Amino acid sequence: MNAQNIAIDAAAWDSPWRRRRVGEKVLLSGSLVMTALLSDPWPGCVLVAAVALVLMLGPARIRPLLVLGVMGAPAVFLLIGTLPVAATWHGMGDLAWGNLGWATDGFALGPLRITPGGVARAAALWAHSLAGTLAVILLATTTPMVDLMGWLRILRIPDPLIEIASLTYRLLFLLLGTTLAIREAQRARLGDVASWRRRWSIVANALGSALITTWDRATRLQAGLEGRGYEDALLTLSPTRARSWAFLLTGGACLAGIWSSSLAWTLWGAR
Amino acid sequence: MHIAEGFLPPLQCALWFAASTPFVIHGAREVIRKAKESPENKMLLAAAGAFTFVLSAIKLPSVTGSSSHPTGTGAGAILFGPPVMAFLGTVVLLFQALLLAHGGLTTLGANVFSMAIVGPWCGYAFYRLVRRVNGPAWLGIFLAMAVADLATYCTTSLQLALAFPDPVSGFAGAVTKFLGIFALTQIPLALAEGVLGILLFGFLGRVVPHELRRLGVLSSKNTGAEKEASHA
Repeated sequence: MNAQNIAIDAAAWDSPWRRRRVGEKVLLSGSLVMTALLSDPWPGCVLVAAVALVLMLGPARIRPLLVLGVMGAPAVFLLIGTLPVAATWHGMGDLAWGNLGWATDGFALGPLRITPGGVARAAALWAHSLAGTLAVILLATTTPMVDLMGWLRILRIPDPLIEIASLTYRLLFLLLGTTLAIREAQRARLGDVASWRRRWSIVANALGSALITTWDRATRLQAGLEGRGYEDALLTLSPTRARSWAFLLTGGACLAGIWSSSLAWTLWGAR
Repeated sequence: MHIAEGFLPPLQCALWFAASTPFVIHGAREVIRKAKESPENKMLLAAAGAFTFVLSAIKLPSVTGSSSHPTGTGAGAILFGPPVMAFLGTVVLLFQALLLAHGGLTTLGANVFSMAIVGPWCGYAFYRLVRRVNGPAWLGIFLAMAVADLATYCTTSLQLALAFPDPVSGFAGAVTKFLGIFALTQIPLALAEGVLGILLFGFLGRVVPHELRRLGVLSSKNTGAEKEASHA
């Protein structure tokens, strides 16, 4: 977890889309995620990625650098993650690890073989995954988590569950801040140049201290809330947001465009 | 270990959601029961969820369509039991998908099944087994943490192998491929998590023995650490 990740939440609070209905944003993002999963990589997934990017950088006013920072690591992870799909396993029997180089059906890497078909499968998977991730990020950068938690009440999820989830979210930042402060203090006391065995102990102490501090703060939060009459549920008022037909119709038009392009491409290919 | 968004075929996404749902509902009922039992538990559970999030957000890249990192679910299973971790793990995975683009929404069911259900249950089973045969507490904690981690990764490997059977060697070849690649990063990480667990519970036992006793982790006979702490 780093500053970029916290920046997602900060961007969500600042985005003009914060004032939009959560249900409408969930519907749009969810539809894009499902489209990325179900449609062909070309043109379906490419269009989903393009729509998500245009919406984030355009009407939602998310900074391009933030999008780049947030998507950089996942894009690399996804690329690395597709490598095994590109490779086929030929077993240890007929191929040794010393076998390295081009073979008739692809590149041999010991018992693994990277074939053009495998690379195409991996590329398709990467497109599905990247487009889906962008669609999720569209929701994350335009909707603060507390709004999503409030929206879950509409789905009749019991209050104690939503409260625990909301408290977990709030305590994340406290725990992260506490851990960073403890690590900084340990570094200042030359904790990082201690022996290997001592360093293990230092890390465990840091985690334990962070956990205890968070527990302590959580208990005090509980006491404070009880003092203000907290009994059952931590209900908060949320602003009334009007339904935007323009938003819904634009989102629907984007999805219809993606699906009709995919269909047209499939029919064109079948001719 | 989280399987990324879009990595699984739609039918398998639905099946993993269906497999995870009963465990998550059972866990949610347990969480509600604990919350009603004592309001303090709500805060404690939330703190445990946040702790799991921070621990499992430390990720290393892994060439398996996934990533490697400590899970932290073994510690949660010892403290609160595996059903509670099914719910807390689901919340953590949802936050990670939305805040860190780590995991995904369509793959949430599969990730919940491996990290929030199989991992905690396997880890907890080893912990109980060691306690049942009167084995040392440190061994129980070590095994709970390490086994929870390894079981999670084995399940993820099986899930990925089911989704991507090898064109030449089929499901078995794919399992070998994914488990082999995960083993490089995950076996050392699981052992490290086990050692970290021993040190962490040692620290908690020294500093907050009453909390561990309340949660049933320390028996009432273990008064040495508490006395030491009160002297300090």
